[in-house]
Amino acid sequence: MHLYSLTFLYLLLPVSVAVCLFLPPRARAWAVVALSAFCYASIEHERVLLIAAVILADYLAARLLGRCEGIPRLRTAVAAVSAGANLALFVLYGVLEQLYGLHIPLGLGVVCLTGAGYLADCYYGYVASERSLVSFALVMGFFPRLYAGPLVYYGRTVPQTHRMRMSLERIGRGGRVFVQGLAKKVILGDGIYQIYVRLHEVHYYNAAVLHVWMMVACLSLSICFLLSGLCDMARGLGLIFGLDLPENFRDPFRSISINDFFSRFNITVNRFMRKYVYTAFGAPQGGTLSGIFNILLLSILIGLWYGIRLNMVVWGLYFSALVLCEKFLLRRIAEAIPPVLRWIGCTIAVQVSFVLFAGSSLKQSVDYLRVMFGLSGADFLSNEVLYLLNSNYLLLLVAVFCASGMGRIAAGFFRRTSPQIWEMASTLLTLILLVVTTAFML
Amino acid sequence: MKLRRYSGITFLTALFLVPVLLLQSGDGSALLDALGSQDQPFQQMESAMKERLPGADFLRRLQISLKYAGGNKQQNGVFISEDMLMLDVQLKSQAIVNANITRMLDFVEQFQRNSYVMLIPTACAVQQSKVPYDTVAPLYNQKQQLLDDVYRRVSGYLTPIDVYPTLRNHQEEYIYYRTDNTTTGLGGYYIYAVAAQKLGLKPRGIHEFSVEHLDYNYYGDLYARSPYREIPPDRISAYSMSKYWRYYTVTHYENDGRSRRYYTLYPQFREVLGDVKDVLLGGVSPIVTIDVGNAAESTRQLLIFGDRSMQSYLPFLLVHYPKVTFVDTASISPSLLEQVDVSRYNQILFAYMADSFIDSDQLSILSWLPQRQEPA
Repeated sequence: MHLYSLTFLYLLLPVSVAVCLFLPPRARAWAVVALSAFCYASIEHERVLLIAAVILADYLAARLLGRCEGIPRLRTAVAAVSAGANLALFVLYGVLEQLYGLHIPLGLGVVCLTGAGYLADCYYGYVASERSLVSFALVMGFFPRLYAGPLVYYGRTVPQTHRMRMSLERIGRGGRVFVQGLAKKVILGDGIYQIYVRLHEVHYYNAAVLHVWMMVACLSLSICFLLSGLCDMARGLGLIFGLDLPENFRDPFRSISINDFFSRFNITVNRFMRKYVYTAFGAPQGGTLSGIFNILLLSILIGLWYGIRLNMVVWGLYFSALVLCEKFLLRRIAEAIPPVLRWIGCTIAVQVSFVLFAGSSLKQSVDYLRVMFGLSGADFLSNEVLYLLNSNYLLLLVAVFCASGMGRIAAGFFRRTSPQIWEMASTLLTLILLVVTTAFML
Repeated sequence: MKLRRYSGITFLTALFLVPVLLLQSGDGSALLDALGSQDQPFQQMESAMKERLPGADFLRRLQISLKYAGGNKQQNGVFISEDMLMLDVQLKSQAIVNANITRMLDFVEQFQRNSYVMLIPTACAVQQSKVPYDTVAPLYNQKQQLLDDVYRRVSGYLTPIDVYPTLRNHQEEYIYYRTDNTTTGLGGYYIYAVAAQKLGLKPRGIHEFSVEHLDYNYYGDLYARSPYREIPPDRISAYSMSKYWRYYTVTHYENDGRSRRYYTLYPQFREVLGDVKDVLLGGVSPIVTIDVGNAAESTRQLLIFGDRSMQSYLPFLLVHYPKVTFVDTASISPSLLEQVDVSRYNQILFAYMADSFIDSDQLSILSWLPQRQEPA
């Protein structure tokens, strides 16, 4: 039972909300954990046991870390083994998927990384190990979060699980965020992904220049809307049930530099990598060489988060090169370049990077690049492109409008200038969006 | 603050409204039944939810209309033109076409009967100008890539019946249903006119047939897939030879051994039982035999391996034959097919809509036909 199914939306969610509303705040965590386990088991069946085992192992490891305060070697060993086991499990499944097509259980990456971060925090003494298994299970395995994050820091989230406050105001806010996320996923993400699939079906030697550009743009937009939609749904449901989860996407296509892009695209993953890799290795205090090494490592790890394959390593290297270029070569010149030109440059660089997502191998990605830059002698335009542009002009316009962040700017303006009208209008719009999205789910 | 509470109340009302309406309409038990099934219960529940969601039909139409307004005039594999729906026919696998051709050739070799092949192009091939964005739409060229290719490959073994030019000449007429992927009665007449000549018959003029319009409000299978509300409904017409009175015995044989018999080509009570198109020859069954009493001009018997498109042209062909048997190769079971004695028939016609022929292996079932038998 997926988050974006009618059964969840119109049966399970109302029942869960009703149950939680009548439960005392302290007992709500139990109900939400039970809901998460039920939803997970309905999709992944027996693999729910794997996720439960990871959560239980991390819980016990953290408790052990708390108990052996005076034995530093044992603490180090427990932290290294348990955090290492989390990462190894994630990598193992990623590799097996590449080699043998093994199915990766939903949310394994989110659970393993959140667990590893939690254990590191416990080890360094940033947080005390959690006593309540239910609170811990809720932070680790809150079902809506398992699709695409956001990754959360234990210290910021767990206090909320002890007393999950539900109110009509929060339900209203959560409902709005949830419906917006659902619409992003179902209407924009899935719709544009279908265009991408159609463009991707054409072999590169039959593709025109604009064909590949459009394919890459559709892929980047669909990934952005699918991931941010799922994250918004998680945030919305979190608000409804009394949890505040961080934002994970903030108009990434408005970026005017690569650094800016990473601070807007999959924000929590990038912050997580910065905290546990970049900062942990001492890059901010280190010299130039150390900085370069850490940027390389960080970018490659961020790339591998999206899939353990060669293309993602190259994706990381590509962005490392761009970040280093910005840091060492363009730092002074960048200020003099008008923001519009910086935005154009950044957008092109980001779009080109998605060729690595589109290609099933490095060779295929290079072939796409040759077509994109007119090195293969391909035509500039094709009937297929014209047909798809004609057929989907409104969807693409809406997607570009939403990706540009204009909607958020306009909403912010209205919220500040006429809050009451904004509140009424946004409620009405949410209702309309819910009806339209439901229509697209049929 | 108050307004913010109202937004919460509105959201909760919207959420709770659906289960309440489901319970009120009594559809809740159907959902529970789906959940209780042993095979993928949650998927079945989701399917049941899609069927029974309050206002599902309205929402489906809303989706289609919104997509259409956004330029998307090809939805669920259907082109939505200004006044009609057309199936987007695309070749999925050349191997399927090859297999169908090979089976026809094997059949001719095995049974040595006069055999004919007729592939009926779909609306998007004949009425190309009605396809949205027709100058750039990625259409499968049915004429060149399928019809001409198949006819070339079977020439010398089967006689091709190319109805494309005739249908193309009459493309402005009502020859395809607007909401169904098949030819109308009028389209069936033009197909018959070409087929009759190739089968060695003298086609009758359209004025020799009387027409009765059975329904003016028919919505077919394409509308079920893309219910765009601006598309007008179809007219279902029944053509009958008016010059001489004929007695028809139409017998339908089902795979489970059941059979039903009508003494008319158009049993109108079938409309009450379901689809008005089932009035035409009593619908489509794995085997349909039609015996014509009084006035057949030859003793030849015709066996047709085909699909539901026969409902459009067969009423006209019956003028020339005392007995015609139709076999629906997509639905017939091997055991029922074993009862068909090919040697009783003088002419064999393979007749399919283009999409049926390229979408599925229609003819491998023919290997179950009993070996050549001497006429009794």
